Amino acid sequence: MNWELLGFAFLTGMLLYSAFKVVTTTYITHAAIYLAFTFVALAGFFLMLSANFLAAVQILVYAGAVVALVVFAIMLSQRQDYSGKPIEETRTEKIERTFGSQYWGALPLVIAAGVAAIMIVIYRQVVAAGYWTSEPGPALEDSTVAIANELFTKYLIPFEVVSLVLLAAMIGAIILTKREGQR
Amino acid sequence: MIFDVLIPEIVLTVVALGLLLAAAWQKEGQSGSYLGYLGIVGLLGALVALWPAIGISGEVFDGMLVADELTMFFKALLIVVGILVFLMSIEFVEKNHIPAGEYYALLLFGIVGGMIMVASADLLAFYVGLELLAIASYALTGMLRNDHKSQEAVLKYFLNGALASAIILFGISLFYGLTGTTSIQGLADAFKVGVNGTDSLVMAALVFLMAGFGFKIAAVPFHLWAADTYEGAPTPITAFLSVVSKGAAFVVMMRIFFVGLESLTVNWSAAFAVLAVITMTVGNLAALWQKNIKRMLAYSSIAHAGYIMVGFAAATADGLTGMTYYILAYALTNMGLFAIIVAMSNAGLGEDIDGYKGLSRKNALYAWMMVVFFLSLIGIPPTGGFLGKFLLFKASIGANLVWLALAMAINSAISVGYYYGVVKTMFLNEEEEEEPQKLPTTANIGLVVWITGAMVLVLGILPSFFIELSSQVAKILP
Repeated sequence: MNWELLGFAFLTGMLLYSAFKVVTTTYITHAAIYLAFTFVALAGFFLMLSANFLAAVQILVYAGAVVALVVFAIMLSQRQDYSGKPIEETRTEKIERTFGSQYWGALPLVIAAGVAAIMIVIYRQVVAAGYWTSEPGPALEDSTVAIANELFTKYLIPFEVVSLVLLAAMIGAIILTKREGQR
Repeated sequence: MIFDVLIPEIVLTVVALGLLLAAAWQKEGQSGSYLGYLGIVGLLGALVALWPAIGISGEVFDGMLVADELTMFFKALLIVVGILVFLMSIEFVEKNHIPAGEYYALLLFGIVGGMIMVASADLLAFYVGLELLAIASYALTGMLRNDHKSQEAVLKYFLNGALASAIILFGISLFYGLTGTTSIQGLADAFKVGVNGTDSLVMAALVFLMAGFGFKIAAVPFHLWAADTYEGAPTPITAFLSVVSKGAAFVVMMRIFFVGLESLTVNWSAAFAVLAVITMTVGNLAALWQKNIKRMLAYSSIAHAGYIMVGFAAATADGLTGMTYYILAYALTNMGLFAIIVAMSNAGLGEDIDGYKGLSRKNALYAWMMVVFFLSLIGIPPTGGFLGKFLLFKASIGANLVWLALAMAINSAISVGYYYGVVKTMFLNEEEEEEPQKLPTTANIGLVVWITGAMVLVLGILPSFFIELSSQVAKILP
């Protein structure tokens, strides 16, 4: 039994399913919970790649803080009924809504499938051309130290600029959601 | 000291944070104009702070940023354009009850983002600069919160911009996978040894990168968001988007394509030639039908992106010089034009071309300056736009792309159609007999119009100094 492959298959299934549900579920709170599952699955990938620190940050920041904030935002927003109501629909209607769109029919699905096909071809090429070896390199002894060193020496400038990006995003979010006359 | 390179960015960031703090103490109903003037002082300070970095050249901060002629030229241009946007914003922000502190701070953040972009020597640094500029632009586009169009504009801009960023990142990740580096110079080195430039994988990465940039500069067929966004955004922000967001993306493209992907020149120059022709033609044809002047200028700015891409198609030092000069002339021309549009909208005359009826008798300065700016956009002497087009023309002939030069000439002729329509409305409308109410020239807008008008003429009549500066930019070529 190849445990690594099994783990990979499990995480992939979890990631794809929950990401799909994030955009198709009609309960907005469920979407937030599925989002948390997506982040956890992604953390699992980082763990499999021996990026322990990234996995921990992924869980703490994304699955923890970000999802909690999303849920808060849903609850604090104007809508009284934040749980979302189940839509009364037949089975065919549900399939239509999930896989198609109102104006474009199944076009989004076709585009998504096309993009997926292109990605698969590209990644097969990558492996075939031998640019990315399938053999894993030696795992870093201590990835936290390595990341910290890179982040605060070589990548210091982008790191500092990111803090400005976050500030600008925060101001922008407040401005765009605040109504005129409200202070 | 190596930090000398970053002083202008640091100054602007500190001023932006200061504006945010100052706005917190702003009293209810108090005018926010002083925040705008403080921002202008900060920008002037940043312009002076470019001075210490003049002697420094080469990669700095472990190859994240680079200091050279190209960086210096465009940082200075960004700051000057920033000052012009601030000047034309002050009255507009007052009239439309836009929160002044946040507005001016975000504008400064956007300019800092643009400056990081033009100075980046690494794709990672470029990307964070791009995001800073983009996020500031999204928020600024939606600043008219009770205006339906502004909200539509920000949604379209945000979704398209996020998609474009994702596509660019995917392209970068493929290049990283191929070469093991995100450094632009490192890419060039990797293609010289080992990595096969004709590999279909390299082509895929190139396509992703070009498509992503295509969105950012609103090249056809990635332009669909541009008209709605430009129309709905607050008018000074439309000017900002059409000059800063577009220009900074072009400058980064110069460095990535001319330096980093130099070995692939054959591939991308051909693609850019096709994109250039489609973009300028579609932009100009669509502009012919517009009734709203901002929408018309949106399509016109799409067409201008097409003209600028001719420099990439030529892929020579001449092409680079031409693009630099063109961006300079285009930036100043657009700033002047939009300043007048802001003045018109401040006066309550609206944004429809019909609202410009008889402008020549209401305010002769605006009407005549608009003629100068239109001449520059068409490319007729004695304006800067003419010389920019001439340089690009020369570059495309020099690169044996006569058909491209021909397409440019035909397109310039098409563009006369819609610019002339506006001029006709301004001058030749004799219906009303009585003298129309005068439209006074306000100090800030007047200043912008005089500065840009004079510069556009200087660029057309006494160009040698600026051509020399632009040709210095071509030094980035290996």
